[in-house]
Amino acid sequence: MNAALVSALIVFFVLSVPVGVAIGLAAIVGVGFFSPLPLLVVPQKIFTSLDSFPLLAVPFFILAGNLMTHGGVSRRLVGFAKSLVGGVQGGLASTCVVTCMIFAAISGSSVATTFAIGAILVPAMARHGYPLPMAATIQATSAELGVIIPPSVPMIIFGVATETSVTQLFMAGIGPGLLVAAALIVMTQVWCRVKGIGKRDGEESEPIFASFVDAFWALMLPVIILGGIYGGVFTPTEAAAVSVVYALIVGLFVYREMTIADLPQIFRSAAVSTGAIMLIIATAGLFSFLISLSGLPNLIGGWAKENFDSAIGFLLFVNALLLVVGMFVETSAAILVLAPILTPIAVGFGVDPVHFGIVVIVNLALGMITPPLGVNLFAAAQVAKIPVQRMFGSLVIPVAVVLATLLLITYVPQISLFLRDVFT
Amino acid sequence: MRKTAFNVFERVISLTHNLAAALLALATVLVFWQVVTRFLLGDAAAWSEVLARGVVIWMVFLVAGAGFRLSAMIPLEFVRSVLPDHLQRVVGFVVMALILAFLGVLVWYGTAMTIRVSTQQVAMLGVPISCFYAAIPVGAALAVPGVLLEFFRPIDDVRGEAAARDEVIE
Repeated sequence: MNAALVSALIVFFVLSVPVGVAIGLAAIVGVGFFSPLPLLVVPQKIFTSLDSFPLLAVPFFILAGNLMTHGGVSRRLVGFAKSLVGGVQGGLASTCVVTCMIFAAISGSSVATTFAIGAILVPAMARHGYPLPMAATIQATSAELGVIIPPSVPMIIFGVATETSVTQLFMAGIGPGLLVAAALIVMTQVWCRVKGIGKRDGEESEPIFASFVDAFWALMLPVIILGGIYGGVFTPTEAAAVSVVYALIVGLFVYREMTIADLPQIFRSAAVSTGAIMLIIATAGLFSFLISLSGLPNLIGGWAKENFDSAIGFLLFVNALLLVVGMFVETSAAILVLAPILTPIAVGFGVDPVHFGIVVIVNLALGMITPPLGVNLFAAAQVAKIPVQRMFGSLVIPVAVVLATLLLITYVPQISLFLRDVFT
Repeated sequence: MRKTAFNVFERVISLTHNLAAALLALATVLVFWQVVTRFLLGDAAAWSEVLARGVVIWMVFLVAGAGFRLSAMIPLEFVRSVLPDHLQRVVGFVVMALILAFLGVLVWYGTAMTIRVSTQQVAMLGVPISCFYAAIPVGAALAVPGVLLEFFRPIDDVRGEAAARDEVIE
């Protein structure tokens, strides 16, 4: 049945059937023709995959991100980040990294981050003489932080799929997020100096204090969300709902860049984004159920035990596997199908499941900027209005940098776990 | 005749889209209410969580039609995009047929499943769980016009002033 599932899936993907439907159809083919199960299991598993309280955080974080973007938050964050790091050569590129880092602590998605920040900074970089493909590449790479720094939709999905604590994953994401951000700042600085770009980036920078005051209400949101979750005041899902309400108040009454009349359209567009992701989650849950039913996880587990004698070898295998998978498969789907298979094996090798979750997420975040299917690439290309192929050349450097940080995060568990171990 | 049918389809999709957006707002209120009750009363209302899950499931399936209509369901187009135009159209037709088949399975077996669980109650709410399960067949059926519109009247062609308005927001 596994062969049928996978080959059906590939055929549907190649035909460009939407991801959620392709996974669902492959599962239906598997159930209908290669298993004794009744097709009733299809709606049943689709329903139970979605019927989960932690998953409710997904629509809320998407909605909060939308509200933040339209409420004038992203523009103020750019201003604040620019006052911090924008004063030097290549300052705009570094501003992009820092803004994405802060925005990541509000938004749970990297595509949302690309659109929100890229819409402001890609044109700004272009005005300052950055080649468009380079600007788009920097934007796409920085936006990866959206899923590594909590809150993070993929972390919620990993937590739900493997019954790992979402709160602990949220704590473990901070160290790796800061590490990747630091590496990217160094990268942008070196890159701009070598290429001689961005010499006049510092000209429009505002004083730090003024831009901090301007961005204060936006900067409070991560404090409330993460503080509330880490302090045990509310669950990630509740924090997500609180952040929606907070974003509404800030956008409508504090910054006043949004009116009540804008809200229906914002809710409509958040509903569509949510629907597309949740359909993938629903059908991937069904698909994953069929895979586990077929005994494949045990087979892979046995194979891993025979071929790897240590966690290091196994993790390297996971890195390579997810690198390839990430190039072709949508993140949520990859996590839902692979995480339940791989996590028990990793735990068997003595890897902490929370650390393993972070490795999977950073690994798949890299997949968002690796062609052919890198969602951030498409988003950034759309923002920069260039064909995505033109970015491939300049992608080599950031991909290498993120790969290096991924290896560090994989083999130095403390980067992920130190905060959690302090708090628990 | 065909034009009238398509306009009716657009109305259906727009209606389900608005309903889904309203449900998203309702779910936010429910979960926020849970936080408020816990802070004010020291005890969270347990029913709000259960209801919010059902509301979000209804939202996900009601918005499917709009997702297809707006081509927002995340297809992987790197093979299709290199094909010549007329072949793209053929593949588009095949994809439409496959999506309709998928929705067909959801309508048929979703209905069967809804009937089958009609005796089970949702904890705390005292309603049959089939109220939630019904989202699958109902949403799938209402998504059919969206799939047809995506193929026969692609969104790029109708991206006139209406869509320009949307893009300011997106």
